[in-house]
Amino acid sequence: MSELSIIAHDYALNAEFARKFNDAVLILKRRYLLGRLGNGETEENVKQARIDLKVLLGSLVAALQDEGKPWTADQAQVPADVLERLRKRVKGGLEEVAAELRGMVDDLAKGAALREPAFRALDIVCEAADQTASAAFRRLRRI
Amino acid sequence: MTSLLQTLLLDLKRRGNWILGELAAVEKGLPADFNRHRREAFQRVTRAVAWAEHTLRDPDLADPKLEPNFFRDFKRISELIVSIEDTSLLILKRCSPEDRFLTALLEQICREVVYKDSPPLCGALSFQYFQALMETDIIMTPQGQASELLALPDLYHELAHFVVFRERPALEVPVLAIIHKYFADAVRKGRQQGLPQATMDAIGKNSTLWTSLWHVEFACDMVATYWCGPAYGLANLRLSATRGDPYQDSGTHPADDARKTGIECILKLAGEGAAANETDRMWQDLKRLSPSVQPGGYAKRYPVQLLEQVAHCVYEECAGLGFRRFSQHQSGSAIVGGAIAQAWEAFQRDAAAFGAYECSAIQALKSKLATPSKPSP
Repeated sequence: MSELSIIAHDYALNAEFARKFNDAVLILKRRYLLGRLGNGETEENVKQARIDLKVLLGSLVAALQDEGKPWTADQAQVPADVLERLRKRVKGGLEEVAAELRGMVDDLAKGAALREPAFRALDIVCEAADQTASAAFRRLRRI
Repeated sequence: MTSLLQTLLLDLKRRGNWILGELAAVEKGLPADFNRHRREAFQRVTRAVAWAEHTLRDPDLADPKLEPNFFRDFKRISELIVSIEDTSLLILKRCSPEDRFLTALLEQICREVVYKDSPPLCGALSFQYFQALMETDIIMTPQGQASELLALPDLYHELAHFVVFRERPALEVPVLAIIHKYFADAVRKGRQQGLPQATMDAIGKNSTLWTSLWHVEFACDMVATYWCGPAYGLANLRLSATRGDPYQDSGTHPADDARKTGIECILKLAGEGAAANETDRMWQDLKRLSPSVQPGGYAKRYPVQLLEQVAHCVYEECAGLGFRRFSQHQSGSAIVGGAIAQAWEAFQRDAAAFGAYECSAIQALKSKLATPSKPSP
């Protein structure tokens, strides 16, 4: 009813996406960039992180390429604020980032190892999601 | 040397442990519903502290490739700690008679509408009308809410925020699909008709407003109407009267006039056309008193056809999720829903005498809620 309820809703959505995305990227970065597993992690965690990331990236790629195409329920996984921030962040490089992310969805589907350039694109998404969640939190707490 | 991130994690752990101490200290004497919330908050903070400890032991914490990711995780956990301190701990420490009554009342509403999760904790501590705080499972109400009945339908709206968020695939996503399709069709038709760029821009702007946050408010109004019935429409009119311009909207909230139309759509779907017409009659009277004029482009910004489609979707999904509609209660089984409906009848019958009615009705409600009731059939 008040502004705060809708901002709380917005924050919960953005924070959940940021958390899920970052957690998956952290596990995969360690596995593919450092070549090891984390404290208490198993290959099963890596497998799950790949599945989670593939779902999130698939939605993100669909949402980034939505111009003129019918909206699909898949796109709802990515908060609108994250998309907007990501678009502003990469501006003219959107096609390039989208292509990198699309390639990564294919790599994840094929079971291929992820390479360093892929993580640069993933970090851009992580940062956009994190900034969006932080901004919503600040609006919510009025800080 | 200790890195900045290590320092922040140590600070987070210290703050988390302090909150755990406070949550443990308030346990004694808490009613069962407050204690359940306390236990849940305690578990969440315990997990947060365990995460901080685990991360502090991580040999890769200072690796430049991973450090920003750890920092982002730290921020989310830190936000949780701040939220629990500012809301859960505040209400649990206060636990006033008003907070207890409102929490019991909300618990009963949850039973009546067949809300599936644990009922949120309720505190009469808001300085900004009603607030639903999803992250901590709390609803804040205005200070005087435990002493009045006419605004109680707004509790249903706040509860609906939890449902729209948690039942996203069943409720929000189908609603979004309808809205996206509606505006995509509008863009296609506009292009075919060669509409001016300014009109096309307005369609795009309306689409963004609907799909970013307005759909949530519309859906919450509609779920609340499904649960609470005509009283929700009346409470909305009462609130709108104090808010002023019925056509004013913002990035977060659609115009009250359009929200009223959404509420009426649900009432009609529930077979309460007469109640919808009565709300509309009062609404026209309110608009007669208001100096506001419907702005240009309003009908295109709030297409009735779209509101009807969204209402139909929400109505169907509420039924699919197993919620009990206001008109499905057996006589007398909806303690809170019945009290609200009767309060509005009494208010409309004799507003001058309503104060006395309200006092005794609240006392009666308190007595009923103090007696353990059977689940509503």
